[in-house]
Amino acid sequence: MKRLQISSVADVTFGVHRDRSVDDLDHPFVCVLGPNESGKSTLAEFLQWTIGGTSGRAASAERFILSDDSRQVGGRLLGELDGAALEIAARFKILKTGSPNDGRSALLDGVDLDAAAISRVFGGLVPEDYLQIHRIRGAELVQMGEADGFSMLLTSFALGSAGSELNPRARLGELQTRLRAADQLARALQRQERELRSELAAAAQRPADLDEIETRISHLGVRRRELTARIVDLQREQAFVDRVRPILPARAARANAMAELERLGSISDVWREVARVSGDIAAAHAEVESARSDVDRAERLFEDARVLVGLPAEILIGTELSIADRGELLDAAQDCDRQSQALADATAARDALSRTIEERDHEIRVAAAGLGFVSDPGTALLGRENSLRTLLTDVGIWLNAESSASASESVVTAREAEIEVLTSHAGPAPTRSSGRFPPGVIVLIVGLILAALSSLISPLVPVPVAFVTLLIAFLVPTPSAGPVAADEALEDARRALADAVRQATADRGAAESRADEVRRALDALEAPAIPELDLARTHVEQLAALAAMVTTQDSERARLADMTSDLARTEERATAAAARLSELLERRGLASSPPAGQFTEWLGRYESALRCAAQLTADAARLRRLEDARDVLVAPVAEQLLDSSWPQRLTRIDEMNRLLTEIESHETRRAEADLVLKTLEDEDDRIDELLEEYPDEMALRSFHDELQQQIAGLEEERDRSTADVRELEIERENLTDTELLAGLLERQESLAEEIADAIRSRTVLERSVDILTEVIDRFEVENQAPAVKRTQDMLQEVVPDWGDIVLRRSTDGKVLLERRRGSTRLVDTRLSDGARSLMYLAMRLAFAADDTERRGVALPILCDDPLVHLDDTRRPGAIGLLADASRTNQVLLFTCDDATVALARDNGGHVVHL
Amino acid sequence: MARSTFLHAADLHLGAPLQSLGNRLGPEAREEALRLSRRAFDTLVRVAIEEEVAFVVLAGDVYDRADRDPAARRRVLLGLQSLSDAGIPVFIAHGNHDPLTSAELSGDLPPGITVFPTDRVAQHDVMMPNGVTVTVAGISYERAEESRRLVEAFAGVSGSTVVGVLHTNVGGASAHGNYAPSSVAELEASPVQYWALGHIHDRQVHATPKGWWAYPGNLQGRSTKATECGAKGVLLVDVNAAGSFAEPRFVPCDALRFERVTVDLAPVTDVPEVSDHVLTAIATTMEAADDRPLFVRLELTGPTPVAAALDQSWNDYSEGLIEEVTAALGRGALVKILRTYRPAIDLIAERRRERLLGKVLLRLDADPELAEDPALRAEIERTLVAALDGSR
Repeated sequence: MKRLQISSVADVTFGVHRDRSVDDLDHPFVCVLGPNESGKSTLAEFLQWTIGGTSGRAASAERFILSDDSRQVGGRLLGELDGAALEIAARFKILKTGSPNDGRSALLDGVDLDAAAISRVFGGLVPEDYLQIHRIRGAELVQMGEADGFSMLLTSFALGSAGSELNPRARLGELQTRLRAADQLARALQRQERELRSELAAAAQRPADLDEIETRISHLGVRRRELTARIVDLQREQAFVDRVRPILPARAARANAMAELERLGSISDVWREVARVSGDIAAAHAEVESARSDVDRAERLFEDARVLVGLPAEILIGTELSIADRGELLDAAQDCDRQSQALADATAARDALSRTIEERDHEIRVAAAGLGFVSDPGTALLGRENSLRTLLTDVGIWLNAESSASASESVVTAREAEIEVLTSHAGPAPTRSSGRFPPGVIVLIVGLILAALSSLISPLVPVPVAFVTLLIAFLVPTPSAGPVAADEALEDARRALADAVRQATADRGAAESRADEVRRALDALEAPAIPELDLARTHVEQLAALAAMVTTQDSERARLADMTSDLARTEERATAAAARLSELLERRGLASSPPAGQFTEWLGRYESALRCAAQLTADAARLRRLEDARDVLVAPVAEQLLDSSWPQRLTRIDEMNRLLTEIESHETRRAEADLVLKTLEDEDDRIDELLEEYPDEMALRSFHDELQQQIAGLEEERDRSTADVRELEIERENLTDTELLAGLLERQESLAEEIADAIRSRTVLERSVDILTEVIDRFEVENQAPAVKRTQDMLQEVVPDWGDIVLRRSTDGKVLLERRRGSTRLVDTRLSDGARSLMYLAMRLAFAADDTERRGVALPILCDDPLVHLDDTRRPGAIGLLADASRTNQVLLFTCDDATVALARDNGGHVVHL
Repeated sequence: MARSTFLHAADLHLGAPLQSLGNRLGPEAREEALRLSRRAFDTLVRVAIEEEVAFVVLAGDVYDRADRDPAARRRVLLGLQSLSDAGIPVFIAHGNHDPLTSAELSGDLPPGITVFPTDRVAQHDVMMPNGVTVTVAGISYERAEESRRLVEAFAGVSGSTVVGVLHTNVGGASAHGNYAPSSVAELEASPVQYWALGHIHDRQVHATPKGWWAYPGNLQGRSTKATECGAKGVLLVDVNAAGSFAEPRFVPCDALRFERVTVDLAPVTDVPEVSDHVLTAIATTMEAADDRPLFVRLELTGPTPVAAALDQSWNDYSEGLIEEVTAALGRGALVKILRTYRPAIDLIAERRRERLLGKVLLRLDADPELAEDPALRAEIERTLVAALDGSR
């Protein structure tokens, strides 16, 4: 037997402990004393994890971590295992779900061990085993009996591992459940079999039922045939009655018809003929009336149309206007209108032109007179406009020459004046101007130039300009040149005069020459001479204008002649168009044609009138036909109706028709009655017999109805028989369906097999339950009682009058511990907390002892305040149990209670302060 | 030349329903199976005609029920008519299911059909094509529980080549009704060279010093009982020119077949493997069934490591397994699944352990009642071993 003894723990970081070390644990019985919240239970938990491994869910392990960042806990445990030094380095990572990771390693006598090896060294220790067996919490002791695991602990101890999930009692319960299910199944199947047997019995009855059904079908067949025969006989009888029934009324009908015919008398054949068609006659007359109305209306319409077109009826009636004719007329009328219009337009144009020519003639005459023409200037000026325009240029030149001459002559005058001045002022000679020319001369020269230039503007301008120039020249003082210069100045002036005279002469000559040219030109044109120099240009211009007018006039006259010719031709065409139109109209008997421009409208009216005439003609013809047709219908009696009006005639015809209808009706009835009588009376002697028995219609009808009732009754009975037969046939068919029986038998066989299986299964389960119950009971007694006995012995040592502990089962298989002391029997749940705690403590220690023996290793027992529920009387005993246990297993007692510590010390416990 | 062969059939049980097709077969498929099962007799007639047999012997239980199912009787008459039309004589002995209680069956039969009487052994000679004259002798049951030793009545049969037709329980096999009992010695001692027997549904052929005695088995299996499983049909027996009988040869006539398929789960290490093993076994069986619809009783047996896992997941797993097997069987069906597997525990070693299971096994060993019923004992053992399987 090996023994693990803890000597110390170090570097414990677990729960509230941070690198905590606790020495001095190397004693068989250690009492660790610490106040509340000092980490006693935490230290115990660390020892449990380190020795037994991790267990428990994440929720309970969370309290041992430092923080979420550091979920690693651990420490070191030092001790001895059977004398060999053992150091276990515990490293646990607490996960968020599941058990913490077990990262233990150990060194045992120099040999490295991992977690699995540690477990093996401790005899295959699993965490649950160490927790369940070697960790005793005082707070749980009082409720241990109600804990789910207690019964399992007791029972499964027998299987060697408290951590095993196998619970034989639970398995037994499962078998019992299956047994109940198998039993129910068997019963249900047996019920089904009983029901099936009934079905089979019914099916087996089929052959006998079949015979009976065949017999009944046969009997029903015979009866149906009898009924059918009887029905046929009655139907024949009834048919005979039906044939005979018409005789009586036929006879009566015949007599009646004869009487009526006699009363009505006869009607002649001709009237018969007419009466038969009275409807047609009335219809024909109605048509005649309608046609007459149509004719009246057509006459009115025609008259209106005729008046509108203004033509006599005889021209319109019977006249047709074809599309071609219409087109021809319209074309001719349009042509006529066009030609008339053209003629009017041409005439107007010609007249306008003629007036224009006359007006222009007058203007020419006036202009010519103004210019001095004494005769018609036409011949002289015709075509001379350009020449005259050209002459204007010559006139311009001439006028310029005149201006130049005038200017030159003005200079001569000026020179002469100058000389005169010079001469008259004999005194100091006039001084010469400082310049080459004296200022007055300069002014004079400038003025002459201006006069020459102004002659281009007007021949009248140079003269005043020259005068002003001279005046200024006289008035401008000449700077005195001194007495020597005055002679020179006079000489100069004389020379200048001479020059001026020469120039003036030359200019004048030129001017004269130009004037001669102009005059000659005018003479050549036979045009009046220019009256004045100043009017030269104007005169020539007027001549040119007159020449243009003459030329234009000549052209217009030519045009007028052309227009006159065209007008004549147009007139011819218009006349021809009118003649054609007239011809076309004359062909139609129309003497006159409508005014121009109105032909189309007139043509429309004409056409309308023609249509009305045609309609009138047609309606009249139709009226005649209808009248003829109507007259034909009444022709046979026409003489008799001669003096009557048509309404009277129709009335008469209608009366005859009614009479005829009545007569014919009675004749028909008589004929029908004759036919019936002929058919029936000749046929059968039985008719008389029947009529003798049933002399009138009512009796016959009654007899007929009676027969009908009999037939109906028999048919109803026959139908019922038919229905019965049908039902029986269906029943027979069902019964002869033996395949149904085969199906039932197959079902029966299946069911029998299922039942056999279910019963077999039930038997197997029954026997299994019995056997397992027996074995478990015995096994428990054999294997668990020692533990209970040990518990009992332990308790009796510390509580001599404890009594006996008996292990028994509740009705639902629950483990019960019973204390028997004298006649008192109390199950564990009925004990006081203290007694129960003590008993459970002893039991846990007994389990630990058992476990130790099986495992071969005495592991430390960790106790968390195991005496919490014990009173002072029982505490010494409890401590005694622990001390006793410590002889085999090291016991570590964690407590905050001084009294407990004292008791422990008294029992050899070593106290360590935390 | 036509063969000198005759056809030996028995236990037709015409009109008998199929027994237990299970509860997984739909109504249409069930009806189809029932219809097919009636075809076996038609196949018998066809084989007889095609093989040009010289005659046919029916050794009892032609009908399943004494009151004669009219439909079955109709089928029989039609078949007999066909044989008669083919010129093939038929010799019929009635058995315990169809004792000759009335003249009904001896009348209205086509020509060439002979029913053996109940009061004596009647014999008829048939000339085989090879010139051998075969004497066909037989006797019918007069009541269902025939207790007479009818074999003794054959002592007076004469002939050199004799076929004896008898519905009997040779050796008094307890699994069958012990009607018209006989022994092997009696069979061998009689003048009959070939015993055409009926009553036992398992096909058997035994040689005797003179010839053979044989049970052809029933014509169509009707359930997954052991005796109803496997190929069913008729025996064709050639008659040699020397007047002796060749070994009978089997010709299947069943239209559908019942089989027991046993799958040993010992090599299975994982639950999903189970279906592979099952389907392989099913496929092998189907191949042997020659395209016939197969109705199977599946047994999963053997000590297996997956016993606990299979038990735990059986409800769900079996659904898938049944689907797969049903699909594989096509026109057939899975009639039943038997679970006789158990955990792979060394039960002998377990007995030596001081554990509950060992105690249970020892208890079973010591039970005298169970000693007399090994099958029950085995089932109880399996139940308890599974219940106490520590791996579950």
